[in-house]
Amino acid sequence: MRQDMNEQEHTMGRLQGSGSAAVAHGAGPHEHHIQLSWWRRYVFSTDHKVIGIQYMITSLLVALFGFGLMVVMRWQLSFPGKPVPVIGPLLTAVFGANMAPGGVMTPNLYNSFGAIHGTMMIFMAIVPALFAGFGNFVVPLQIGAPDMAFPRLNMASFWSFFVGVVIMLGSFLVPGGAAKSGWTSYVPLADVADTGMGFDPILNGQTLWLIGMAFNITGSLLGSVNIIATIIQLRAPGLQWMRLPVFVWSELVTAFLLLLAFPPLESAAIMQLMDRLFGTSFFSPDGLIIGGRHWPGSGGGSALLWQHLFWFLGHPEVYVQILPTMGIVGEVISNNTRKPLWSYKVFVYSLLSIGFLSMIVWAHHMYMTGMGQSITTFFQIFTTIISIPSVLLGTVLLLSLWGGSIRLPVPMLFALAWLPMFGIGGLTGLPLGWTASDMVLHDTYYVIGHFHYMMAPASIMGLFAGIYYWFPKATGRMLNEFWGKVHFWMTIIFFNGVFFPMLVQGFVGVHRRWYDGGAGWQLAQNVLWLNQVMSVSAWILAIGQIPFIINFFWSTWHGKKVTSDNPWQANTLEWAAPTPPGHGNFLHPITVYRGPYEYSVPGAARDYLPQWEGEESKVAEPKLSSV
Amino acid sequence: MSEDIHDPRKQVPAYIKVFGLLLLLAVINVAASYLPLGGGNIGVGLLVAGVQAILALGILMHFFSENKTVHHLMALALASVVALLVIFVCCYADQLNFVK
Amino acid sequence: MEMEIPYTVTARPDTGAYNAKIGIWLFLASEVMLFGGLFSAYIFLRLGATHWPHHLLNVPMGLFNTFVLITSSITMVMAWTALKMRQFQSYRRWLGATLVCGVVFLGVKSMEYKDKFHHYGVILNNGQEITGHLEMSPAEARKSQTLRILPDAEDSGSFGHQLQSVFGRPAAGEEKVLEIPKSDIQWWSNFTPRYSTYLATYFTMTGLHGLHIIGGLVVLGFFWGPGAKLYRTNPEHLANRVEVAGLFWHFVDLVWIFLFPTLYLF
Repeated sequence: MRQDMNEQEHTMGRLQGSGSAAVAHGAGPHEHHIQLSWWRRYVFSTDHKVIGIQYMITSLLVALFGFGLMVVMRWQLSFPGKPVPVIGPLLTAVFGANMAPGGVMTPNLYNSFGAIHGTMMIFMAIVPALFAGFGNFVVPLQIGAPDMAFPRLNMASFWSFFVGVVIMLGSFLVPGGAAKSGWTSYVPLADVADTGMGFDPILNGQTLWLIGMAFNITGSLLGSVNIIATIIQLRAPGLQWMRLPVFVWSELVTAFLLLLAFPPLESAAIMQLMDRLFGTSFFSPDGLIIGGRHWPGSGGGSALLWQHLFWFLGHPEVYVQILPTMGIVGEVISNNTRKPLWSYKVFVYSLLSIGFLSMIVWAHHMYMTGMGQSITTFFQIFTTIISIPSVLLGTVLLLSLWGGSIRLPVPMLFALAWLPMFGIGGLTGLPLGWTASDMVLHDTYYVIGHFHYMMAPASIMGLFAGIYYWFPKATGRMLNEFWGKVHFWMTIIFFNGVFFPMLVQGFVGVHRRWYDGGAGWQLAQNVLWLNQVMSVSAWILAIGQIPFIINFFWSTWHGKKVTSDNPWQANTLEWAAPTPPGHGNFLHPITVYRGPYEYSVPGAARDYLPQWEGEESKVAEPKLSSV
Repeated sequence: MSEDIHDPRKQVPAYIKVFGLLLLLAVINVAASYLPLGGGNIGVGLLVAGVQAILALGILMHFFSENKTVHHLMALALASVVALLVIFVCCYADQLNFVK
Repeated sequence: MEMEIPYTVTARPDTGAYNAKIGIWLFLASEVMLFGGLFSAYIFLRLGATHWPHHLLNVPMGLFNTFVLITSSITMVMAWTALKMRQFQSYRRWLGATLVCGVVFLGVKSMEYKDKFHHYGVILNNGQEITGHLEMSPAEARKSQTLRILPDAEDSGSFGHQLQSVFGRPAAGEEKVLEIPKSDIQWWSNFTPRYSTYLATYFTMTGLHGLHIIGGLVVLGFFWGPGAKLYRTNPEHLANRVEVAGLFWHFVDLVWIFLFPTLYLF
């Protein structure tokens, strides 16, 4: 294949900016470049690839931490009130004897773990990894740009995010522990939580949660401005809108969602901060009584206001987590079926319509708050309508498999597994979108099962597909195939072991916020054994990530080297860059000649036609084969 | 901004006119708020503020002479904020057991 | 080969804008949503409020500040025009005027805040609200069993009265000091954010707006001072930067144009 490309370069001459010469002088780009200090190159770097990797590694570590919180919580749910084995003493040592006496989780510690698990997994692990990690690393490469439009702003957004992570982690160590009001921080609970005796007015869990979120939101906003501006302004010549890879489209829609949906949450966070620091009553209603006493505030606020502002972000946020994985899966599936996506146009328009619709469905999270019938009808209609483009996207990806000559490298396994996970996650959501069925299922483990299917199995399948797919471009080495497969099977099987039983428990009515896993409720007795199934699955799932972690670090330095810049024989522009790409990315100016998925074009010599190769290659190819 | 076509200096008279209009409208807005219009005060106030906003956005921020990319971006932002405000009001108006 | 990021100074032909212009409009879109969130809170709270004060804030001061910001918008756009004409001295003057306007605005704003902190309100158990000034020190008021309050004049919401109060305490009318036992009081406080949802919205919205003004002043100050050096090497780039900073500044003024009627006038 490498030989193939070299020959091609001969025939095509200087017309095309072929990236094949890159391996030979991979260090080339630095020739005219002033050597930056180690700090500027690897820590305070403005290079989009370094920032992308920083985002990715930080958020993978956060994901591991968030998963760890859950691993401990699962013990409490299966064996309520028993000391946590192995790490019990550690819990007591870190969180104090009043939080974990004798290694037993107290309700406060459980609530802290739950709140921070949700917050960190969503805002500081999945979104930064998928949107910012891949977005930074891949988008400029895929559109043929030398960097992001605003490199310094890019660095600022990473560090803003990082400060948010540090604050959120640090909140465990303040008196009283981290936030306990759930990832939604519903008021008035969150207004009054962590206040009073024994709490610092500022350095307390909930206030730090708000401050950490403010930093995180600021980072997200700057990042989405950057991604959108990059996609609009820095596309290579010839890269028209309908030639953009679907991953770029998904990042564009995601960035718009973040840009427009996050600020209202930021304003809500400001208002909650005002409530907590200055005693305002934005979210405290008249006559609020806490612990038998009137809450000392003017009243007149509205708890529903918080919910509306929260879910105005909260719902688009779900799509923020799933859209980039759709893009990744689209890339991987098209590449490994060696054929175009079943319908590029349907895919793109579905992405766009999901983007628009996701802004006006948020209150389907709030059916139980006493909304009137007209307004619930509005939200039910749009919630149902949004399932159409979602199903179209799934259909495009599924039908793309039809008639393809499918290769099954590890990224493709993850991409294929994404499909059923997305299917289960999506279909279990429909009953929650309708008031009649939502009344029964609201706040049960069914809801937990549903959204985790979307956010954990589906999003993380996409995440791993992306990591295995783009790892060779980032490091110049392949991840180990065997251990990748071990990782894949461990992940897919035990993910379902964790989340499918939740759907069953939910039908029985097990409530999502019970601290004893339902042990104290008569009707739940028949499904209590499922708690142990889920817990054991979660622990094995944790063990199943070890092959990945070792593989990741081992392959970074010792993995099999790639023999070409384009190891997957893909069409999109990132594979035209040298491996790993230097500062400024490309060795030659890039021109784009065609759409991103021209695989197996009839009459072509190879089964792929990269976007950066001119029309002449079609003519040149038959000559080549005759030589 | 089509600075190649337009001489920036030619815009100055327009800026001055907008300046005068903005000041005048601010005064009108204050005066109108003392009229006994009941709920109509809010309507008048927002109408006047809206006209001021259009003038400032269109002339001072050169929005009228901007290209369509910027127009699309702002249309999206305005659509979102209108959706936010309108749906919020609808949600407020349509509640079960609503007592006012 | 080192590749530069394209379109940092010149416009991309098909989008008709340089990068930073797209960036700032995107940022403004998110700002629209940020203040949109606060306005939606305003609507929600106001619709649900049993009582919403009218002309409680000092309208003449608010109007003056509106004039100041409108003026600063014009000086801002003149600064950019001067830079486009390559008149550097004139640019510095216009931008300097903009900075002065911003500082004046903040000065007036802080006077208004201070006024409010010295203004008290009492809500009696029967729901009646009395506003006025304490005739005792705040420390005494906290300890004492009765509050001594000089209530506001009948016409305290009128333009004339408020205008007078800017230049000193207006002549007292018929009012005399009230002594209210605390047992009759449901809620009392000076006019800080915690007094009522109205004041909470007022302080939060104008406070956030004030932070934007400060941010704008820092950026404009930079382009007035050290940032202006760019003029010698690349005046067009400086003009672009000033245009972008100006767009932010205009937007902050625009927010005020809506804040003023919503908070001061109705």
